Amino acid sequence: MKIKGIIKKGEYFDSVTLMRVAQKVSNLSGVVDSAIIMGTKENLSILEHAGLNLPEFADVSASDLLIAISGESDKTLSQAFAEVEKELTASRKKTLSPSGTNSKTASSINSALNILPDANLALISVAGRFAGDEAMKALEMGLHVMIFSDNVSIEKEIELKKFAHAKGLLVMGPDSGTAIINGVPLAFANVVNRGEIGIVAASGTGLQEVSCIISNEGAGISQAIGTGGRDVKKDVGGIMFIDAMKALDADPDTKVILLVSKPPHEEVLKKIEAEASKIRKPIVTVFLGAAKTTKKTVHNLITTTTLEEAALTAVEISKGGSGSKISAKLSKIDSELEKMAKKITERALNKSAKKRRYVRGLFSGGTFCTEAQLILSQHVKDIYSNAPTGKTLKLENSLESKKHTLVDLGEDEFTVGRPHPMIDFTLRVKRIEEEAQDPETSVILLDVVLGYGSNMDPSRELEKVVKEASKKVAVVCSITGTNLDPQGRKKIEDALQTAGATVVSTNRRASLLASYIAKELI
Amino acid sequence: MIEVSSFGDMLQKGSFKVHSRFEHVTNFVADLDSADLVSLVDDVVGPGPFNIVVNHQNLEHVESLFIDVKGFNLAKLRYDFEPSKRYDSFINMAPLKAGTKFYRNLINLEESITEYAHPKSLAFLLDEEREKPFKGAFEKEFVTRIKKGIKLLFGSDPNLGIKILRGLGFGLTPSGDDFIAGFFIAKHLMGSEVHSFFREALGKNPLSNSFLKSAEQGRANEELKKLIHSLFEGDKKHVKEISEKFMNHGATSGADMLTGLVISLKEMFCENKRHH
Repeated sequence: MKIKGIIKKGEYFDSVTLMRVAQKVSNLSGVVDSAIIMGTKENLSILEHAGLNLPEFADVSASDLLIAISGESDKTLSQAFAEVEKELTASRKKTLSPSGTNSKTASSINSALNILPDANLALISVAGRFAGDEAMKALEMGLHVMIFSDNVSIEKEIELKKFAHAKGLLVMGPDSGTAIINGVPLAFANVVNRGEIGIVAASGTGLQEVSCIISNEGAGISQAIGTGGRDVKKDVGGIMFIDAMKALDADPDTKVILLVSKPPHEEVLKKIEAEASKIRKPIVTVFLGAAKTTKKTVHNLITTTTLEEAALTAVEISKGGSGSKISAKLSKIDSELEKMAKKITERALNKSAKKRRYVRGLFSGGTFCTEAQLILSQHVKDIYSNAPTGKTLKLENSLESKKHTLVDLGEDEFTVGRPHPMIDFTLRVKRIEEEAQDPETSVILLDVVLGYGSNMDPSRELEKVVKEASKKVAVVCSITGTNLDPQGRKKIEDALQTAGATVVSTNRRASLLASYIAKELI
Repeated sequence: MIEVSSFGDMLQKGSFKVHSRFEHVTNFVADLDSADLVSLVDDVVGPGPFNIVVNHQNLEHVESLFIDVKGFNLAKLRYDFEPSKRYDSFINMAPLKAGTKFYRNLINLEESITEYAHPKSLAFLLDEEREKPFKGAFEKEFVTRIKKGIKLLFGSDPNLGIKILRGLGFGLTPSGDDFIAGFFIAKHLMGSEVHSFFREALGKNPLSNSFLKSAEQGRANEELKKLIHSLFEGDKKHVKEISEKFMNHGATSGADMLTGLVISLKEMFCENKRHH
């Protein structure tokens, strides 16, 4: 066995770096043992005991860095020392210029502001337990904040939003997955046209769906502000939802305001209506699961019940209409979907196989799962979900479908320790396979969400499993996205259709199509 | 242009040369044998007894600084200390009586360390499972020696225990030195003196020497003060959050120091019980 040592004088590295380098060296083939430590008397004693002490270490000081390696051959040792030098040099470069002249990295909000002194928005994506404090620092420095992080306590959220409100700042989130500010998509967001419709959403995928529909219809978005889902609950009281409405009212580029959420708490709803009554601009609302009121409590408020209806209504109003033509438009679409359902049922499914009758929805967007439940429940009974709403029953085991089952794969039980299902399709692909094998499944319903932050090649990941599944069941997909998105909507649509899926442009249509198919099989 | 947001209350006057540079810290020392350290840090590290908190770390061309009573000179520029920005590092509390809340939070802190600390930190002293990553003759001997030093420290020969721990282990401030710093803080919280131990603990590492000096005097950086405060006033969640933040900085030093603090306090509480 060979042993070699070197001394580095005046060079200092933190312990994690040294341990990491030592670990790398230990893993090299032929290396028996290694030590990278400061030359203290005590460490020398251990080197002695471990058989790694060398004569050249006799006169070292406690400030010297010692590197001792034992290995099978001189060649092994050469390679090992080369690796050490490489790693320490890289670490030194990183230490000396983490934000060097050509680098744009920052290690804190302060240092980020040094690089971008005109920044007025901080997007925070750190572990939830730290996110609240970082958000407060940013607010104290006068920045608006978007908190992508989840696991921030509701108490902290209330504290942040009250503070921000007093300072005239916006807090988007926590758990705000998406926003579009001055045409710039933030976090999970789509590339959409700029235009005159401003959105306030307490729903991430809800915001994405309406903004994409609006853009695909030729209209555009002025601002899209995501408040985080809890904002419209009683405790938070809609603080940011209301402030965002005010901001859009004051924004000269916004001509129509669109509000998206699950039903706010009744006290929050009153506040929203009170604020809406002060706004002269037309306001379209979709509070999923809330009853559509024909009675107009606020003169300029138009209530809708689905994301597609809300988006199309906003588009029509932005083009000078009143929104009254949308119902007829949707009815026509629905008739086409019914015909499509008949064809699918005849072509794809063996009607004599009486068992195949259930819808199995596998969603990456929680709002889509909610909307699908509301639509499906108008046509069939016995619907289960891991995130139930309305008449839907709670699924006992999220991993096992029962009758009609709509699963939100973004819920905690699926996402602890793994990426979000909009990015990582592993769980969903596996579940598609399982559902296709289930003799009771007739339709697999999927949402595919494009845009920044989402899976960059969804068709590649889904093609194979969709192709196999569609030999046995109907596969219905909605795509949320635009052709400007990095994935390219048309390309994804074509690929999934080629694989055998029926692709429609909105979650409402996909859910309705699945409902019609299920009804055909009753 | 540097802006100073805080300066420590243990800064010494004199000339200092660059000792080491890291992402968030640039260390200056008077000489290698001293405990006179000045650290220019950013707000990620924050205030401390030897720290001057500045707004950036673009200091690669700076080789020295000079401190006098009123301020310091750095790279031909002059910065005066504003009294309102002086950081009080003293951990100001009456000698600890082990209340239930404090002891419960000490257990919470222990849990946080065993859950979150770096695999090669001293957290193995709190959880045997964590000994597994220590492989090879050097690392195994290190584990044996640390345990021996601690056994003597709280047993038959504390001075010998300190001598064994001093300078032992990984990193620019060796693990054993960080453990001793935790021990000194624990002693301060219990109202006990540590002067005799301090003399034994000093070595040739100016960074370690300065941390030990501040710990011996019951002084700490802001993060550690907040953490100690949370042991008295906070709940489990609060203790976890602060301790994880503390362990995020300084490589393994944070976890090693906290391990020293927890083990020392637990030993001292047991000792108190035996005498009452």
